[in-house]
Amino acid sequence: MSLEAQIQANISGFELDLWLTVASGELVAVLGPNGAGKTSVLRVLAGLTPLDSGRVRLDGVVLEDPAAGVRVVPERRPISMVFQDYLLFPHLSVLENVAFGLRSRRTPRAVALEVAHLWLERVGLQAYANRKPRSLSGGQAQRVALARALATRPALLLMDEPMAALDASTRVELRRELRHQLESFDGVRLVVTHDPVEAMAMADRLVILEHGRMLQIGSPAEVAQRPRSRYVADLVGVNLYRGRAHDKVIALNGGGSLTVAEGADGDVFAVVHPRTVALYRTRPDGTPRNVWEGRASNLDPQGDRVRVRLEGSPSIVAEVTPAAVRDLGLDRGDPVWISVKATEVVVYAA
Amino acid sequence: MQPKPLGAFTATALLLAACGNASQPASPTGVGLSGSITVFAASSLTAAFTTIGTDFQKAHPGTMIHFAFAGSSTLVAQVQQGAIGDVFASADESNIQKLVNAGLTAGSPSIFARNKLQIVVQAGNPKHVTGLADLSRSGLVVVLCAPAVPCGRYAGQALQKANVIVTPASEEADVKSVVTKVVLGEADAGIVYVTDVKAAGAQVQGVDIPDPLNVIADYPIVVLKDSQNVALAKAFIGYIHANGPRTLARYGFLPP
Amino acid sequence: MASSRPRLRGLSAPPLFILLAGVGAAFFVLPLAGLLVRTPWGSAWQLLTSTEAITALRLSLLASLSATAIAIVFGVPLAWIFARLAFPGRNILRALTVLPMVLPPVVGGVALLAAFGRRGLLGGWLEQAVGIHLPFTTAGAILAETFVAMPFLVITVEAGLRGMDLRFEDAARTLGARRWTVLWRVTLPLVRPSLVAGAVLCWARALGEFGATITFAGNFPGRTQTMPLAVYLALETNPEAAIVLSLVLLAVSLVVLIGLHDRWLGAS
Repeated sequence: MSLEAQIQANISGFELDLWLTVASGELVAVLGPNGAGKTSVLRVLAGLTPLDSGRVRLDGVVLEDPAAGVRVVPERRPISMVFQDYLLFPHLSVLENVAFGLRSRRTPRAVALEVAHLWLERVGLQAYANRKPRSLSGGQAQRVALARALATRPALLLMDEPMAALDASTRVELRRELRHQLESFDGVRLVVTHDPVEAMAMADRLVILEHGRMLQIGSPAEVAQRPRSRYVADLVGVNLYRGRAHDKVIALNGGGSLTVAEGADGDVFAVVHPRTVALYRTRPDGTPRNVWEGRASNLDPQGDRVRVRLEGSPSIVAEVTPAAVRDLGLDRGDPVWISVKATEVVVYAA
Repeated sequence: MQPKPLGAFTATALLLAACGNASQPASPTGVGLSGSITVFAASSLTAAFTTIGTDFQKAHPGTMIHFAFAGSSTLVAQVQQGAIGDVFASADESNIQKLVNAGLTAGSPSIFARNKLQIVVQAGNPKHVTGLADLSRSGLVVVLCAPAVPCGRYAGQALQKANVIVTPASEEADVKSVVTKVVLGEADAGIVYVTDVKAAGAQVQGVDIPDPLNVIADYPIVVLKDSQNVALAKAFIGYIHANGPRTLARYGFLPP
Repeated sequence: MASSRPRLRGLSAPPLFILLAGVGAAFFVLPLAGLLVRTPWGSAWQLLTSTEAITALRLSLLASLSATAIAIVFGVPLAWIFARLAFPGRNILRALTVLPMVLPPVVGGVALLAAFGRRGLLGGWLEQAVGIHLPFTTAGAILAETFVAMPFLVITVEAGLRGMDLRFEDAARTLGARRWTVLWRVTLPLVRPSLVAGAVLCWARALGEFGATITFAGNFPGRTQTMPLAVYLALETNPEAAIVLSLVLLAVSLVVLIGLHDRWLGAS
């Protein structure tokens, strides 16, 4: 089973343009800031929003292809969705909620309720079968929503920010539970989230979405090590630069340059981890090839480190100890000398 | 004309009476009449009294006659509930008797006109109604006044005299509504006064009810006890008796 | 002890407000109090159980419930298309369906005659082709009541549909529910409070309808003389009966409206 989707859609002025493939058993997370269009991707796959062009194919069956005039309505797609607010039907009991999908597909009531009961047992909520959704906690509601979605045995499971409405401790617990429940699910799963921790923890592959466009796709490790967007760089907490490399010097797009250890050519990304940035009061003498003067524009204490934002050519974020800050007598607005070893700059093609 | 809700009438009458009586003082007799009065009159008197009122006001400049027209029983109910007016002209004696019995009148009622019943049908008499007997024809839509209204009571008497049983499609609250239903074409026939048939003009025509079967309605008029302008009220009644019959005859009324 | 004191939400009211509110309340309380005082309690039962009164009450209940049923069958779909469908002329159509609410009922009656009277737009054909005659009939009274009362239902249900979270319908569709299933098992149950409130408002309006009924359906005991008409006519000959009948109408309406109170204000 697999999902292949090429999506081009204009949704009230918002342009969506990306492609996805997800194999069964794989969990792909679409990660992006708010407003990136993540929910729209799910809505398109569910059939709730039409494509302008492109194609959606699930298990070889074309669900949507505007050019060929094919469009399968949501109720006929073998797809289930867990919504951000769960959207459990408030007027139905928990059991009836879980059974809803089956009953809608013409399963006899008795059978549907029995299957629903089994699913509730699987998520450990059989005691709540006859309660109304409003009496459930966030975590419980999420489990019921998951049961409701899985009860219809979909070929594709879509999850829209499944943990967003929960507090931190519940989240951890439920992440484990979700993984456990999904182990026996042999369909395709696609999760959408803005929480990088969640994405990194759950996903086999990441799709980075920003302004409706796909910026990067790869395993969490790949994406973290080689970010291709400011968004990911910020998430991971590294300095990301883009520029033209010629031999061992990169002319940075934002101004300034970096000397690197490996030769490279053409359009490249360069990553410098804040830990590897050294700061001096006076111009240092030594081996580091990258030395330049900057001005400290912000000091951000974070536990046992301090992140220092430095304006310069280029600007950079450094991570030092509080003791170091004291020793340097560093204050906002102070001039500072920055040095980065060429060997510490990671370079890869853009 | 549609029957108006009770409240609107009382409010209007009260308002008119208050305006009228507050603006000018009652004048002593002999000095010349002034001020205004409110006359409650049966709806069958609408056209005739309006003309007489205009004539009176021309003859006595500085006076104002306000009219409130409705079914006699409606007006009686309003006066009983406290509506303030000066003169009451009813379409039958029993209604005015209620006021007399309740002590709401000043002096005794006097008859100023008479009326009799007529069958009203659409112009051209498309259903070929020739008399009371035809009214019991099946398929004919007949509308009468409600039994509480004088016209309805008289109609009942006439039908009884003629030994005719009629099941009306509707019992209207006043005589004008009966005419309206016929004019609109919703009813084929109704029993109203000859004056109403005349007032409706070319849109309808009347079918006579022979005198032995007909009911003669005496129209009495009286001054109301709570009148604020007794002089003008009495003068108006006097005018009705003296100059009224000529005008009333034009509208189809019979002399008293 | 604290629970018996009036609970305040937000700012405390200036004294003028309390005074004005008090006068406003008196507006509504005094007429009812007056009615209770004038009621001839001695003969009340007799008057209530007289044939005229019972006939009028029975007819009123029959007509108002029928009108409400008709309003539900045609009004809910109408509310739905107003809330969900955009089509040219929607605003005009919507204004027309709300019109009976602001129109004087008698005008409504005249309009109905123009449409369904013997010489009316549809009425003439109805009589000739199908033999249906509406003026002066119970059906006509029901039609008149439906005309003035249905807008209340349409407006209330439309508001409920507009205020509903459409994503519930999305959720139902992703679970495999077809259109009718979504409507029947999700949408309508979710707007049930509006549906009930609208139906009750509609019924109460239909029960009290006078002007359109007397103009279009006329007045005949047992056939078209509903309670309000009976009260109007009784006022002329038997004011005591009128008061008793009025009290019955008031009591019935009051009971229903009090029962509906919480739904109007939503879950509090």
